[in-house]
Order: sequence, then C-alpha cells, then structure tokens
Amino acid sequence: MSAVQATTSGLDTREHAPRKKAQDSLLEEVLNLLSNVLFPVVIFLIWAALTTIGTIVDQNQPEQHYYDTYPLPIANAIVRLHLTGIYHSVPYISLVVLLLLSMSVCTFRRVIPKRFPKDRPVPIGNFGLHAQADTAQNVDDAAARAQDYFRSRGFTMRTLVQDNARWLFGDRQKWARYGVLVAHLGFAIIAFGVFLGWLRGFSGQVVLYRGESATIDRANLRLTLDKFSADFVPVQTPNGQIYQAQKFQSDVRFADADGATTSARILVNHPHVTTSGVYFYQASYNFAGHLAVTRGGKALALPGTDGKLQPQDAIFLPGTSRAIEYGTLLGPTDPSQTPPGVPMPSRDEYAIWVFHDNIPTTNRPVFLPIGSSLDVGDGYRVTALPPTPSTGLTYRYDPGQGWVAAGCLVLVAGFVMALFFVPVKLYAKISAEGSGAAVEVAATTTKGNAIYEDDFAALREGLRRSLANAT
Amino acid sequence: MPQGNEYTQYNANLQATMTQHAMQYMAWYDAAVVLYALAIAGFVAYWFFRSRGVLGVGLLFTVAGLISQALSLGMRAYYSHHVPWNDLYGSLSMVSLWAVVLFLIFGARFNLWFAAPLVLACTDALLAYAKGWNKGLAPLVPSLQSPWIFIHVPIVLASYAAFLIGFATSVIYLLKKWDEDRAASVPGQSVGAAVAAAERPAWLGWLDIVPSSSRLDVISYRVIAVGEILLTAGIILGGVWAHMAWGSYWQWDPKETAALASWLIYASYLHLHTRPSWRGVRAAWWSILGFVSILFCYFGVNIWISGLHSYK
Ligand code: HEM
Repeated sequence: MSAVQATTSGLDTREHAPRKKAQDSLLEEVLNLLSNVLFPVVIFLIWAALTTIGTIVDQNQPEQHYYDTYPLPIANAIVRLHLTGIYHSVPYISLVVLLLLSMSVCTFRRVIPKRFPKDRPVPIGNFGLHAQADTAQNVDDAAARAQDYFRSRGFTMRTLVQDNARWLFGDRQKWARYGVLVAHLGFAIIAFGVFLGWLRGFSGQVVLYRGESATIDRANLRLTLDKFSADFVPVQTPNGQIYQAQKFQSDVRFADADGATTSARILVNHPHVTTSGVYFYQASYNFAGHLAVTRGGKALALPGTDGKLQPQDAIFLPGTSRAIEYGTLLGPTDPSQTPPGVPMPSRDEYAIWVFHDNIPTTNRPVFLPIGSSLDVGDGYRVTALPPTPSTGLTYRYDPGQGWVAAGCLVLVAGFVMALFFVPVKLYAKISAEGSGAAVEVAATTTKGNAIYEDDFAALREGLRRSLANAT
Repeated sequence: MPQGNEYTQYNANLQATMTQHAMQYMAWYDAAVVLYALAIAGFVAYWFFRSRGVLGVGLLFTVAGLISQALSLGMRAYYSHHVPWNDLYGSLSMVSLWAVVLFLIFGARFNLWFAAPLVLACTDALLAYAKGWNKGLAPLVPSLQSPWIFIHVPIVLASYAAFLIGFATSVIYLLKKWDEDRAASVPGQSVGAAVAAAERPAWLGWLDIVPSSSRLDVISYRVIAVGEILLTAGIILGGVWAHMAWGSYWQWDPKETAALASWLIYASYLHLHTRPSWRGVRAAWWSILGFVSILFCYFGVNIWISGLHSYK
C-alpha cells in the first residue's frame, strides 16, 4: 500500500507540477477578473436591469394577475423566467454576494497598491503632468527650496537620496485616498446588517377589533386595542369632493411576559417601540358592519352578527331560504367609502342586500341607518348597530437595522471623501545640471490629469518663481 | 365627522380662499417661466457676443426667475400650511428650482455659463409642464405628515437637479469632442476625414467658448459626484422615514427600486471613470443613460406605476 502510494506521489509531483501551475493561473485569472473595475460595473448593470424589470412588472402577484395584465407571450415570459419575485430570488441576492467578493479581492489587489503608491524614484517624464525648472542653486539648496515651496502649497513631504539625486515625495489630501475603502466598507456593513435582519429578525401584521387582544409569540407580547379613531377631511378635486384621510390613531395596551403593561398611542409616522425593541406601526384600518337579528322580538346569536361584517359577508337566516348580505358602511365615520360626486349621508348607514332563494328582493341595495331596523320576512328583523372599528398594525423586530444605519453613514462618509477631494501625489527629482540644479516634478491624482491640470500649471509657475527668487 | 373638527374649519378656510390664492401663486409661477425664457435669450446672446455685460443680463433674469419661483412655492406653502412639494406639480417646480440654484453654484465654480441655455431650457420646460399637474391645495395625507418630508424629498429632488446639469454638460461634451475631432483632422486624411468634411454649422460657433473636452469630462464627473452623494443621502433618509411611516426601511416600492437602479447606473459611471479608457465619450453617454434612468424614476414611476410613492 505504502509502496503504491509512494509511486503515485512520485508520479504526482511530476505530473502535478504543470497542472498546479495551471491551477494557479486559473486562480490568478479569477482574482484578476474579480479585481477588474469592469466586474462590479457589469454586476451593477445586471442589478439595475433586474431592478428596473421589478419596478415595471408587479411583484409577488398570483400567476393569473400577469395573464390578466399582459399579452400572453409576455405573461408567459414573466412567469417562466420567474420575474414575479425578483428581489428575493437567488440570482438577485447572488449579485450582492458577487459584489462583496469582488470588493474584497479588489481592495487588496488593486485599490491598496494603486491608491497608495510607494515612495520610489520613477521616470518623471512618463507622467501626464510633468515639468522641469532649472536653477542656479546647488542641489541641496534647490531641494530645500522646492520642499519648502511644496509644503507651503499644502503637501506633506518626504525625501530620499538616491543615484546622485535628491528625491522629494509629496502628498496632498492623502486621507481622501481612504475614501474608496471607506465607501466599500460601508457597503459591506449594510450588507451585513441586512443579512442579520434576515437571519434574526421577524415581522408581521395583526388586526385587532376594538376591545380585542392578540398574542405575538415571537415578541412575547400580548396587546389589546382600547380605541381606534380616524379623521377625514373633505377635499375639493376637479372630479368633485372626496374625503381624504387625515389621521389614524390606535390606543393599544401591551402586556409583556412578566405581566407588566404599558399603553401606547400609535399613529402613522409615530410608531411605538417596546422595551425589547419591537416596533409597532399604524398600517391599516377598517370599520366592520354590525347587524343584529331578531325573530319574534328575540335576539339571535347567528354567525355574522358579532360586529365584524366585511363587504359580501352574509348572514343566513335559519329555517328559511333568506340571507342578508353586507355591502358597506356609508357616512361620516368612514367617508372615504363615499363615491366621488355622491352626497354623503349625514348619519352612518349600511348598504345591504336581502336575498330570498338567492335572488335579491330589491333592485337597489337597502340603506339602513344605524339604529333602525328592517323586516326581512318570516318574522326576522335586522337592526343596524354602530360599526366596529379595527386597526391593522405592522410589527417588526430587526437586529440588523443599527448596522444598516451605521453602514449608511460610513458609505456616505466614504463617498464624500472619495468624490469631493482630489488626493495628489507629487514626485520631484533634483539633480545637478551644469553649475546649478534641475528640478523635475510630476503629479498624479486618483482621478486623471485633467482634474489637476490648472493647479499643476500654477504649481509649476510657483516653483519656478520660488527657485528664481532665491538667487 | 365630529362637529367643530379643526380640520373641517381648516378646510372651509382653504376652500374659501383657494381660488384667490391660487391665482396669486400662479402669477408668480408664470412670471418665473417668462423670466427664465428671457434668461435663456440672454445666455444665447452671450454665446455670440461673449461680453460680460450680456452674461450679466442673462444672470439677472435667472436670479429674477428664481426669486419669483421661490415666491410662488413659498406662497403655496403658506396657503396650504405644508411643504409645497407634496405632489407632482410641487416637486417638479422644486426640481427646477434646485437645478437653477445648483447651476448658479456650479456655474460660478467652473465657469459653466455656456451651458446655461441647455440647463435653463430643461428647467423651464419642467416648469411649464408641471403646470398641467397642478390640482390645487389639499391637506397632507397621514403618511406625509412628518418632518422627514422637509429632508428626504428636497435632497432627492436636488440629486435629480444635479444629474440634469450633468446631463447638460455631457451633451455639450459630445458636441465639443466632435468639434475638436473635426478641427484636428486634416481633410483628405483617412482618420476623421468624414467628420472634417462636415463643416461646423454657424450656430455651433459658441463651442469656441466651451473649455476643452477633457476639462468638460472632469466637470461632468464632479457634478455627477455631487448628484450621486445627494441621491445616496436621499435614499438613505427615505429609508429612515420609511422606517417611521411604513414599518420597514426598505419596501421594494417601485420608487425605491427605480432610484436604486439609477444609483447603480451612476455608481457604474463613477467606477468606470477611474479608468482612462472610459473617461470622455463613453462616460458622457453613460451620464446620458443615467439621466434617462432618472427620468424613468421620476416620471415613469410617478405617472404610470402605482405604489406607496404615487403622489400625483
Ligand atoms: C456597491 C458598492 C460600492 C460602492 C458604494 C463603491 C463606491 C466607490 C467609490 C465612491 C469609489 C471612488 C471613486 C473615485 O474615486 O472616483 C470607488 C472606487 C473603486 N471601486 Fe467601488 N464601490 C462599490 C463596489 C465595488 C466593487 C464590488 C468593486 C470590485 C471590484 C469596486 C472596485 C472599485 C475600484 C477598483 C475603485 C477605484 C480604485 C482606484 O482606481 O483607485 N467597487 N468605489
């Protein structure tokens, strides 16, 4: 066994040597690809394209919706390409993962080496921005003078003596070179926060009728709706008067696992945060219909008479083929239901249908003001009671949101550093020329030459003057 | 509705005075449209006469237009008791206001006055178009009743305005580059011969006062960088607001996603611009693409796609 192994490994060494090299260069190629700026650009574009499709095509609808909305071939394409839930799809999320990967590789292979070049002699003439100034001073004096001048122009300077020449290296706004790193770090922190929220957070909705309670297990909370109120204002539009919601308010009591209770008033834009960090938001509201049914003057507890009637809910009257279908509430409590141009009733009333043998007994809905009642036949009477308000609350716990917020700040800070400031690196070589010295200067920026052309011209002139003044 | 409700009273006052007030603020609005048009005429004259006096006239009309537009927005805010940018009309007017303000700043910083006719033509067209969306005054819906409306909306609108200016400088870049190539090519030589054969039309003579294309590229870059920072901040602050109002900082609402798409396109621009081979012509086209995405994000989403952001 060991002999065989030995042979194999012997073979391996010889055969693997070239293969290993091939692997290396494959890895190398992948790393090169990932660190190429064109890589994130391509990802950005795919991301933007998918996002735009998601913007145009309604998301997370039932399949039928797409067939109703689009011509058949387009609907087919949308459904088959799974464009109905883009944002949480694996390819979409993979784009972010690819970006993070490429960003990490890029940071070490490209951004750091390129953005923080070493201080070393370089061929000055190869730079886009370069110039020469001659002076009668000797090399030492000229170097000192040039250094002072660059300092006065805001550069931090370092020196080096090499090859009979003096080298000066200068930096201006060098800290701004970290902008790229900071911006990229910000993006990574945001991605981490989103991931954490997805991993550990939860969210949901509860609907509570007045007086009702519900338990949210994950939050270890029990909540009770004490009161819900809504305000509307009439607004004049070109199509007539409409009623615009002005305020929704839920008064809620929270009880935690230890039985401690707190009261909170929740309004749109004013969520309530529990001590455990769960947010509760005012999300929706409803006024449910409340009908009471009596027979021969005796109240009946029929399904549907508990004050939570929704449009098209029906109450079947036992022993008959009669039913009452609830339509809607009209009136000042929820005027948003009043169609534009139709005068709003001054008191709340319900629009209902009475059915006999599945056929409506009237050809218009019956309008039943609150408090009044109606004989619906076979000894049954239906009475309109005040509607029951309910509130829809969204709750959310997201342990990642602090990270997202911090990442956003870091991202913006990085953007400002990287985009508003122009870090400049200066190279100057001072060498003996004739009896005096020649000062060669070159500058690079992180954003190309054009951005620094004028300043470089001014720098060159200033240098010439300052060298000339000395004599 | 409860009797004596404060909002009923508010609305009664509003209805009674609206027509009269609307006429007042619309008068200032119309004045702004005309003043900007005069400013455009002044700046076009500057293209040809190139005197500081003519430039001054253009600037004077611009500032006058700005003041009257600001008055119009201010009056609208005063009469409606809330910010004027709660609907498409108000926000369009705000974009054009920002575009003029930012243009005056960039213009002073980079001597961009040659771009004024293009920028002002865009802003004036926005203003004139916005008028059709004026539905009068109305109270704010609950989700808009928040201090964040003072912060999130103007910042996003300012980013659109910056991108508008970046669009203008990019278009001028392409013209200038074409003109430089035309001037550099010697007729008869293969390279650019066709371009050179096309003489520059007289009305493009103003390209002589435009700085070199490489400078214009840098100017566009700087303007777009400002726009991208504003858009980043605007999206983030929108997230903070959404966190208060909707129950999540990100809802995949069409407006959010369209803004994200624009953000990605401009992020690509900034990344590509780090490569010499992508500066210049390609970057200019990229900026134009970015602006198209902004138009989609603004008009496309507001007008055609319904979502949480449908405030017409
Ligand atoms: C979505 C998140 C990203 C953001 C917000 C972002 C932001 C930035 C910013 C602000 C700059 C500075 C641009 C300038 O100075 O003009 C920059 C540069 C750069 N970014 Fe990103 N970036 C992101 C993703 C990436 C990724 C995934 C890569 C991976 C390759 C990458 C590679 C680069 C490179 C190579 C530079 C230029 C460095 C140089 O040339 O010196 N970025 N980025």
